Amino acid sequence: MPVLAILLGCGLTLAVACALGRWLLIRCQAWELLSRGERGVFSLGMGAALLSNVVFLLCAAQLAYWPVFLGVGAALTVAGWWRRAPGAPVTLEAGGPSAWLAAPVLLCYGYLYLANALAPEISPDGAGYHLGLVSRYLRERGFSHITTHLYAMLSQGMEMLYLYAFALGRHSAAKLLHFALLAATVAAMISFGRRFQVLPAAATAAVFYFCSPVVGADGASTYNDCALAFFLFLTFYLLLIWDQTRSPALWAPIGVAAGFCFSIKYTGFLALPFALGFLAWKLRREWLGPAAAVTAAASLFVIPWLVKNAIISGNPVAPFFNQLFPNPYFHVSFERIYLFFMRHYGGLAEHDWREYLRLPWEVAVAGGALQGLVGPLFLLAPAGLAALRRPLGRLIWLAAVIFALPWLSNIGTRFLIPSLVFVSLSMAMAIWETPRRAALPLAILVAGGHAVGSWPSVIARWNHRQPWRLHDAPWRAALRREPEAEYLARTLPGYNVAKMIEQQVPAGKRVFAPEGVSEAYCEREVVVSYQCAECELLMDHLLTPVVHDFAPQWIFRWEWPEQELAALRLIQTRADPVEMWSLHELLLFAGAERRTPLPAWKIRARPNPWDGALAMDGSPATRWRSWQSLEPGMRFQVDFPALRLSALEAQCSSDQQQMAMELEIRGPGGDWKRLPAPVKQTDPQPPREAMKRLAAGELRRHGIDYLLTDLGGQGMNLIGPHIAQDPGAWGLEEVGRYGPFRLYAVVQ
Amino acid sequence: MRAAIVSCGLLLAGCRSDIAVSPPAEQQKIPPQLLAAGSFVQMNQTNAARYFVSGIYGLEDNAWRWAGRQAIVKLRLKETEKLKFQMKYAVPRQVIDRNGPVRLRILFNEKLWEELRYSTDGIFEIDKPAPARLLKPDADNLVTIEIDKPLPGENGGPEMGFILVHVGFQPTP
Repeated sequence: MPVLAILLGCGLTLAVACALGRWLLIRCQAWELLSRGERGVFSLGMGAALLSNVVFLLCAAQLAYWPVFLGVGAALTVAGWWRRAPGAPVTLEAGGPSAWLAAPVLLCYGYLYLANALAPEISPDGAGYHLGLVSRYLRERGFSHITTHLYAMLSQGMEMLYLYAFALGRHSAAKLLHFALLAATVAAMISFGRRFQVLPAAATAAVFYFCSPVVGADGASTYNDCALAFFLFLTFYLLLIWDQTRSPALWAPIGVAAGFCFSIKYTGFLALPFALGFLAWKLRREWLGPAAAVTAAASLFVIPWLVKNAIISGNPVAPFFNQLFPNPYFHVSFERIYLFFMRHYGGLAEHDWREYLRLPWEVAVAGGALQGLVGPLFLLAPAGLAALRRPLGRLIWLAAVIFALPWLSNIGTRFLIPSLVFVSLSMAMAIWETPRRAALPLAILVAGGHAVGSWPSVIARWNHRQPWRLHDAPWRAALRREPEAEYLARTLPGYNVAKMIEQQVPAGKRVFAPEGVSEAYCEREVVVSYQCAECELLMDHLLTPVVHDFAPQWIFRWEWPEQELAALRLIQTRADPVEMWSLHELLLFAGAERRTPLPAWKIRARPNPWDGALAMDGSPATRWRSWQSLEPGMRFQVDFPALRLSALEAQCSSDQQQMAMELEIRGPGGDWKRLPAPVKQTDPQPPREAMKRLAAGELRRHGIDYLLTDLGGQGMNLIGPHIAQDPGAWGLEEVGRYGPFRLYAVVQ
Repeated sequence: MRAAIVSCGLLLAGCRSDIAVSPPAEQQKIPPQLLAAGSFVQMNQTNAARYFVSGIYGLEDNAWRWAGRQAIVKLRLKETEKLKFQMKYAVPRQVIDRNGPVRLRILFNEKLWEELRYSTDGIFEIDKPAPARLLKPDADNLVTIEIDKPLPGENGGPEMGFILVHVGFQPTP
């Protein structure tokens, strides 16, 4: 029964997509320009993009119910198939015998991938946020105002399709859908080969691409890289058909494909400039009209995500470009750290750029550091440069290079998947450029070697780095002969943690955790320490009693003859690329008497004005931070009704060695007056015990009722052992444990 | 389109450049029982008052404080072995001029440890091994410093006995 639901979920999604795509291609008169095979792959591609937008609208309208999906899907399918297809398909070169040699290899790998796609989702990101968000949208009937999850801010064109499949067939239906798009990429490559008379090369390239270990791991899970590769290739393919036919009927499909690339993943934004550049190159001065048509079609798939983000966070391209679009939900520092880690997986080249020279080996063979390998075959990619002798080869290389550019910002191997389609084509074309008598054996040798060497049991013999890859064909789990829960409990440690959370945490309560959990299997909201500004703030509070330099140990004191003031401001005067400015507490005095801050006072901080109150809340556990690198001119200003004052004490942490402050004061109606440098003292013993309780209290103030830590975890989980030592000191009570994981309730 | 997005963003950013927030209506309170003191206190450290039980007055010249006839500080010790007691203090000229020689007593947890006599004024320092038998591990320890002949309070003010700069226990290197 579950298998049937899975097949139904994926099958219906594909059927609706094909019907919608067929409707679009007929409507814009592109249908007549395509062969039978092309009609199939382009219908699927165009329709998938349209269906994704339909699901987006249903989510925006809070109509994400499976019966609604079913009804809308049925109506769209009927509407799509209602219209009679005009004209016979274009006839292309028939598949030669050399092309058929690829079939057994593709079928073998298809067997492997299908089993993995049908099995329950256990991939880190798939079981984490991809299906985690999908599952949440379904629970919440659509989009909600999620500001605590950075992945919810990314474009989620594929997640919309996953949602459609998931609503009917749960996790595996979504996985199967991604695998279907991977299979469609192979079909598109074969069609491409037939249209442009490079069929043997295209078939060989399909084997190169399809058998690549990282492609298999990605395509058989609910990631989105293989889907992006499919749509980037469709964009390229459509551009070349347009160049062949010069038919305006293709402008809209080109725009749809290019726009949907952005919708799938931000890094897909390159598809639109690529398409526009191609049109400009071919049309010169007549470029404007077609470019406008392509852009208009593309914007239908770009704008919804920008608008959604702008409404929710004030930043259309959240969680990035926060300096350009300041907002309270994502820090500028987060971007800097995130991009740094994405360029230095596992610490690679963190201190010595020459370690980047290892990248080709890491990407092709080792794969441990970059979370996946493309296969040793691709060490021969430079041989593909031989394809540059043909115009088609030059275009393919251009696409390969341009679509590889996002990899420079995230060096994970899977970010090369979109480019891998084109690299495979160029390498195969180079092989088939050799004399026919040599080409076939060479192709069989190279493709066969790649296919054999990339098979999971064979990889295990030559690669011991534990890269992200498939390990076997889990048909028992795929067919649910092994119950889903048993398989997940056995293969996905996060599943058991997710179930523990579900058991111990009542519905509607929120959990805070230093690291993410398998959200796809957890119906409680887990707020993760690095996924939003509020999350980073809470983590900072929890770390303050524990990390020596985070506690308020420095006291800067300015004194002046007591006088009536209307405002004072601290100005930070130094620059540093790493350190941030922070203020734990500002204490104002008139003689020996401390002035208690009042709600009538106004605090203006720049940057990060939203957290200003944390520097005047009386708690040593909380602090205002700039959340971006030290820059001269950062300021923290307090305005108040005329107040007699004679001193200011700024309590600061010592994790800002480069920071320097100046104080300016202003009387009612007067000018700013700069004061001499402060006296700096050190408090060697900040009240750490009190800070523990206050820090955990901040969780409650932010609507968090539970805390999950991993005693064996890294990074922010360093907090785990400190809490486990004496949860009571934090105002916490342990309510569950699984392995090294500890779940605490906030009891204060 | 991109230009439009950037413009919108700049507008948004511009609108948000003068965001003001207010201090919370209620200040967070630190429960007194959680204010564990350390083992050593400088008279000018910001939280010095946290260590005082009685008899120590306001900060002068950002460096020292007057103490009365009897000053008591509370110092938290994790361990009692291999500690030295350090105290920097002054016997003021006014005290000697008015009362002649004075006697200073130092008690740990109300048990006498040291008795000192001064016939001249001056600044003094004690840096001696501390007796573990008089101290309590993992607990607050009371250090009492008494002077037998303080200056009487002026105009109803408190008695002035001696001057403290720092006092407490440090681990022996």
